[in-house]
Amino acid sequence: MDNNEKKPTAEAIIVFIIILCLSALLSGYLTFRVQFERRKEPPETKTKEMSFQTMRIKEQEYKQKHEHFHQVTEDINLEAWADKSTCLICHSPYPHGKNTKAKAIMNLHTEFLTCQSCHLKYDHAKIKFGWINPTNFKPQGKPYGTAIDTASGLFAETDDHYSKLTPLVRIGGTWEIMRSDEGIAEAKEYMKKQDSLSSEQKKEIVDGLHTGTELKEFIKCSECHTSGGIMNFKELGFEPTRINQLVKMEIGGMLTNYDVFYFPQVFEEKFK
Amino acid sequence: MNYRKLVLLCSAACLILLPMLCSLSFARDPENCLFCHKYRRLRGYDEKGVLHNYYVDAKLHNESIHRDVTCIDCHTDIDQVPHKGTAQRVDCAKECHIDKWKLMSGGPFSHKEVAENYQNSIHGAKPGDRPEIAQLKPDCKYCHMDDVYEVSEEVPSDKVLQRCMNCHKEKGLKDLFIHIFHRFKRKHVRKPLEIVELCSGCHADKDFQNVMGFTGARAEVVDTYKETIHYRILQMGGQDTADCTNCHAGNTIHSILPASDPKSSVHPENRFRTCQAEGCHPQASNKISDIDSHLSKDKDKGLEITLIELAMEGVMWFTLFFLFTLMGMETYGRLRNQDARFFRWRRVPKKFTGTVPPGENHIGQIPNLHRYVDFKPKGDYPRYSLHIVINHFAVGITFTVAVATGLPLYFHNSAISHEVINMMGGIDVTRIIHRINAALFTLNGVYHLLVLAFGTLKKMLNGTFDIRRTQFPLLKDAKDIFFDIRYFLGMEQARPRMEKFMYKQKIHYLANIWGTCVLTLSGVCLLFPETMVTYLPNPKVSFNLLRLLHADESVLAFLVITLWHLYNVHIAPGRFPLQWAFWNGRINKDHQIEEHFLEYERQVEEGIAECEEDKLAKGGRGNG
Repeated sequence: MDNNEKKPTAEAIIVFIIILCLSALLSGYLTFRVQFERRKEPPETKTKEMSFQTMRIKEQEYKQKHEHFHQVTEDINLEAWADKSTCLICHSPYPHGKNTKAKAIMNLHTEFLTCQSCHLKYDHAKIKFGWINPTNFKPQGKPYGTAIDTASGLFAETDDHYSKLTPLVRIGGTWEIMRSDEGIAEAKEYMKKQDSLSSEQKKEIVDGLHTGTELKEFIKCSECHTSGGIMNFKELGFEPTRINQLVKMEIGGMLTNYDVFYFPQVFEEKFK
Repeated sequence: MNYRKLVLLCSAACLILLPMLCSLSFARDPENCLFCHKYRRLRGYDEKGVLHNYYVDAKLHNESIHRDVTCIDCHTDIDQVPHKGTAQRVDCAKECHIDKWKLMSGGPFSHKEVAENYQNSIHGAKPGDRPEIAQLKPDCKYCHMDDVYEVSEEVPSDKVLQRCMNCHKEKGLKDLFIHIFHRFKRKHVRKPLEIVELCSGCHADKDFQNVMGFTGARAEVVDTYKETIHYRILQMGGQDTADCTNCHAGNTIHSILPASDPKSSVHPENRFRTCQAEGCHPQASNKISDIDSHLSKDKDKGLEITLIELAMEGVMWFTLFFLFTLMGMETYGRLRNQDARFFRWRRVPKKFTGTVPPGENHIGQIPNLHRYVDFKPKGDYPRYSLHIVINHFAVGITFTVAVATGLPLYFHNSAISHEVINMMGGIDVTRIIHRINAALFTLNGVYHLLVLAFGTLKKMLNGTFDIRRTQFPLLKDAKDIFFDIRYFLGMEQARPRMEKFMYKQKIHYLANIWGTCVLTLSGVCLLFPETMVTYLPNPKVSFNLLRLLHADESVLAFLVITLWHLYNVHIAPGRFPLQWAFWNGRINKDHQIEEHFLEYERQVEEGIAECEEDKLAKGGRGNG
């Protein structure tokens, strides 16, 4: 007779019950739950963290994908700047909306100019404009919009879709950009908790964030789009053809000189 | 005017006109709209907060079929700058003013016919539609601006054209080439998966379904399609299978009609022709409409299929529950009773200290004899014939290949599945491997049946056939299960004396027979649907059910093999890592005595095995 063989013990019965329960659960999971797991869509890859406004724009663009007839390529400048400007944390990259006639014309400048270029209070004599690239990418070509492709009449192809013009101030003998990382962090924090703030608290933070900005008396079109304006296009690397377009400012003139600008007579036939 | 003046005048005219001609050859923009619209950020919000995009990507536009159409050809209401607040919608059915295409189209070109077809289709907004529904119906832009219509950069049309232009320098040829090649390029990149995603954009959208009043199967069309083999192949990178339009679009993609319309390609009367189209299922008869092309486990499939599905789930649950319980109890019992060390090769037989009654034949008189016997590493007693060893090898290999090539399609959303399919050379190669493997799997089944039939016949003729030494289930097997569990719980002194094939092998073998039959029959249904649907009785139930069972049975077989078979043969204490029975058909002595004592007894009687009890009674140990 073997000494190891014993009568059933409480331990054996407990183990038996545990094994029954575990078997029932595992079988249930494999039979029923795996089916649910199987149908789960693959997890989406994590998207780049962007500013609140840029995320909103990207979402809106996605929804409107099927509404805009003219296909567009990706606006990489939009993502490159999403987290690199205090203004763009709260404001849309298309911020001009009150002047219904010219809002789109004003918005087009946001691809080439930082907000500070027009909306910062400064003495023009003490600043100059320069290009700023917020990414680590080192482009080989000139900034987009500085040259014209003579064959197509469009902007010349380049790998620099990141640089924007921004005001530089002289600090200790070197020209430096006016950017505040603290402002970016503060704006992000504000956007996160704005719903829980009172109107007084909001005003205080918003006023603080807008210190030094000029929302009404901003730079006028003619201050840049003219020979000898506040931007030295030649020094900034613009090619003569492009400078010619910029200083003539046909569109600006259209908006300021005429209520309505009709197409020339030569196209009249088309409108019949 | 003298000659010199004429030359000077002509030269001056050329110099002035040349840049104009150059610009015209690139883009038709006589109104210079791109002066503003070339800016990417030419956008603005309207009063409702909707962002409007006024940007025209001239490069893309110049590569498009509309590159010769000027802006105001489409935007007919625009005659001033800045434009009026609201521009009219572009009417794609209007005639174009492109003279050079008149020769090819026999008159001014227009999308009018397509637009009319589309208007009559299920997607066209009808006068009786409620405004919210009319608003949801897609216009031309909705589909044609999708990624599905993007130009492929892989097609070097310019390089091809350059070769033609070496001899054929006529500009008309160039225009014609670009026009025709454009269509090929577009066609080339219209990937089925993109079409599915395009249709899903609306049909899988819950808000859309609510407004449209879609419920039940109609609300689940995308989900149920994604459960079909058609979609799974697409998702794994295949192209040669049906997307939404292959079935629903009929003759032209713009004429999708409701299934209830007798002209619809998916109307029950027309469905077989749709299946026949493009060589998909050329032998399809009108019986093929019995097949549910949006079959899914979750879909309401009728009472019969639902009940059998429930029964199948119940069987699956009970099988797994029963096997897991046995595994748990055996592990606990074997460890508790110290029947074996985990590593088989480090096992040392216990020293027998008991006594045996005097006499000659001591067989069966020492309880738990298996603990005191030694064994040869490569096996002691014959158990399987060479045919069965070959059968086991074949089924092992074909089952593994079937799992590797089939289960990724079932778990099609898993990233690992995609990696496995890619590793095997893509979905098309995987499907071929799966089918060839299935044929080998079935052939092995036939081979096994022949071995069984001839083996049994031979034994019958010799008078040695004994049903207790076969896999045939007997009442004793149920008793063995009961007493085995009692032993594992410590309520019995020894394991029951079991036959050559104990209850575990019989469960496994019967499951194998069931699985082989179901997988073979359902696999044939999947491979030859147009034929099988003709021969199966009540195909609406039987055919659809078999398709569902193919996956269900595969999963059950996979779980049983990986969790139970591997456990019993390789992982259970005292069995790890393996025995050589799969290779030489011989079983170890301790194993035979422990789990197949009655077979050991018979082999002693037949003189194949020595009586271990006698040896112990004489004071020796096993003959290992």
